[in-house]
Amino acid sequence: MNEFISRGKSVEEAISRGLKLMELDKKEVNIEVIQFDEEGGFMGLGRKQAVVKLTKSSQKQSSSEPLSIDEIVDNAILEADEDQIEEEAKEKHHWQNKKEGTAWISNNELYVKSTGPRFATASFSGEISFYKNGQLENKKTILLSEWDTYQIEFEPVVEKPIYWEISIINNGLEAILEVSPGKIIRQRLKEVPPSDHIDIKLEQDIEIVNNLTSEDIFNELDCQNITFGINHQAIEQAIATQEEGKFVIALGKEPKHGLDGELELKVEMNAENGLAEDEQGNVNFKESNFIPNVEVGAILAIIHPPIPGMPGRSIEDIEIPAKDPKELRVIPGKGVELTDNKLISSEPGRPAIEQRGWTVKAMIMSKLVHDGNVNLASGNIRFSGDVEILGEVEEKMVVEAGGDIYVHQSVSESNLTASKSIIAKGNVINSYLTAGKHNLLVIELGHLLAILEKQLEKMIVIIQQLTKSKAYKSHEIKIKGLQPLIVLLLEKKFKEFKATAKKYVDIVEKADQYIEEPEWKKVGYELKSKFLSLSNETITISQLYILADLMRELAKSTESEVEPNSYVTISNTTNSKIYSSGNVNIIGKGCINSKVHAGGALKVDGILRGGEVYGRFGVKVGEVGAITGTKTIISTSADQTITVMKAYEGTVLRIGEAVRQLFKEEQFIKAKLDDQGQIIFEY
Amino acid sequence: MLEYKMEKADDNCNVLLNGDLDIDSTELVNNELVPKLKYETHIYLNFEDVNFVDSSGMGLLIQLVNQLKDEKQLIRIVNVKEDILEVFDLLQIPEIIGENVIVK
Repeated sequence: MNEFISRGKSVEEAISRGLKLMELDKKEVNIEVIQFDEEGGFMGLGRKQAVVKLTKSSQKQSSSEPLSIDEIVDNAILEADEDQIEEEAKEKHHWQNKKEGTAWISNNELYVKSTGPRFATASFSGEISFYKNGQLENKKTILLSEWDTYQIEFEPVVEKPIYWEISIINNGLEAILEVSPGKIIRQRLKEVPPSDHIDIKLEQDIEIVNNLTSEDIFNELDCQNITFGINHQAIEQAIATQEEGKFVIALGKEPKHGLDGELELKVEMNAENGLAEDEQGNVNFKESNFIPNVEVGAILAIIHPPIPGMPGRSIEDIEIPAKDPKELRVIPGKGVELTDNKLISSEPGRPAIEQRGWTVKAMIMSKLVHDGNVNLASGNIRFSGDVEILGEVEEKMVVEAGGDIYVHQSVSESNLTASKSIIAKGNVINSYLTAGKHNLLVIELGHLLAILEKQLEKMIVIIQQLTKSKAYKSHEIKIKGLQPLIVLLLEKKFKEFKATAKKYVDIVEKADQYIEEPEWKKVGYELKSKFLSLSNETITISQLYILADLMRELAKSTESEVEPNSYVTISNTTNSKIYSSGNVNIIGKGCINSKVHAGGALKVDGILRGGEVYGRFGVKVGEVGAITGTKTIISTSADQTITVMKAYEGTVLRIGEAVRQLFKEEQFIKAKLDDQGQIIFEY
Repeated sequence: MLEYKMEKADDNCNVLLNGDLDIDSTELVNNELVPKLKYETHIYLNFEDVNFVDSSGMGLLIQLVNQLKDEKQLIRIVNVKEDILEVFDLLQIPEIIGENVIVK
């Protein structure tokens, strides 16, 4: 025990008690009187306790004579007084004026005038160590008393070194210098005027030190092999900066991607689209009959070759190649010749130029006008261009056209197939109408690919997650590739992927001859070999990436592929099947017991009674069902709406996967899916 | 390398696996372990000392569990480490072999 604070009725008593407890002789200690009361109360009543601090002295006071307790006490009192006078000479004046129970801070020192009954309090912040009688205080607020000694410790000077770093971002196109300049922080106690509660806080003077030199930066740039596009001005700024900041100190050159090959049409291609109703509800069938025509030797289109891009340069002075622009693949058909990147007609007729993805097909279709009915006498009509029939199409006849079919009168019990549109002015009864069959196939495949591609992306994420996970042994992937892992994933997690992929492969195999672009077949082959058959091919993650890219591109190419050219417009239909890859418009009285499939939007102005209709881009119907509750099914895809002016009981609405049946009559409903995938009605 | 230790107590057969359940353990599982488990009714596969798995190993496990289930044998996988459970969950192994097979 080196130090002891002792209390007693008198100073003498306090010292002797302390010495006894410390088991020391009074020669061996320094005595400091902290509190005493000269006057005292009557018979010691009301007298304050005497407090002394005994400190074990390191060397024995051999030189001096042993002092009597009285002398020690006197000396101590005297010393204490003197100390006080010396220390607080400047403050003396204030000291006497200060109220009891206050504390203040001046000149980095804490002063306390507080002996009770009121005590001053102080609170202090974390960066200050507060010692009371040599003990570190853990509390944040303490009572201050003159009887205790206090010591406040803090770092007078804090130095924060400069921090800087050069990082390469943006695929090697930019080098960023991050600088956080160094700081010298000088701290002192904040002056606080006398108060019963004081906050002990630090005041800081911050001096910014930025000793970064351009040499440091250039050395680091050398280390990181950054040699190209260095911005000296930014480096100067970084050296001079007083604030934290980021500086682009080197900037590469981005590659300029080339322009893909382009098709520039020189002639009008599209016929007036469909028949339109005027304000009175009349339909002018003549208006739809404008068909573009070209003479021999006309320039149909110019094929612009791709323009190669300019390679860029990374800051490490490495060339960044530009993306290879894509070239158009031109298939000149009948009546079209390709010379010097120009498509020129060699026959008169209707030009038909179609671009899908990077493939351009061009041909001239001549038009066949059949004057009269199509029947046993005329025979079936099969023509590669447009077909116009001025009379009826009679029972069991077939009309096939490479372009449009236009029937001026009715169609009954026959089969009409057009690569483009079908227009029938009369009734369509018990017939089968197909417009743009091939496109529909591609759209269906695109639909499947969009689903597959999303799943494949998820699969890639999971594969990466797995191979990074601690407990997964990646040795197998090195020798056998991803095959065993994919088998496992398809087992449960991607069960549907397998089913969808199988569907895709089946369609591609069945419709092999109708698919012109090889990419569709390639994806089919890849899906089959990687996911469906158990081949021993080693599959790598980069192969999956390439496949996903190809799938995404193909799926995207079909999104906008609802050809405005492939539509069906008829006035009335009964017991028929109508199939179009584009829109279907039924503009007359209605559609009874028919099956309609529209790759675009479906619009029935009149009554839809019985049967099943589908419009991939939404359905609009005037009146649906019947009072008798005839079952009528209307479907569309998940992101589309079904609009019905009047619907009877027995109508079934299907949007995406959700189905809702009507049990009562409804008017003016707009059905769509809500966030939970339920069909909701907006009135 | 995968090793195993079998302990029998009453009807229960405890199989303590030690090592990595991976592509190299195919032979051991198919040629040794499977025949030995043929007549056991209550099998406990202890994964306490299995630190790594790969997809072939998991394939083996699925095959083994399904085989035993077909024969109406009871199989439980116990003491699977957290890291390995994570891999199992990513691949939905519990759903494939039955939620109650892996005892957590």
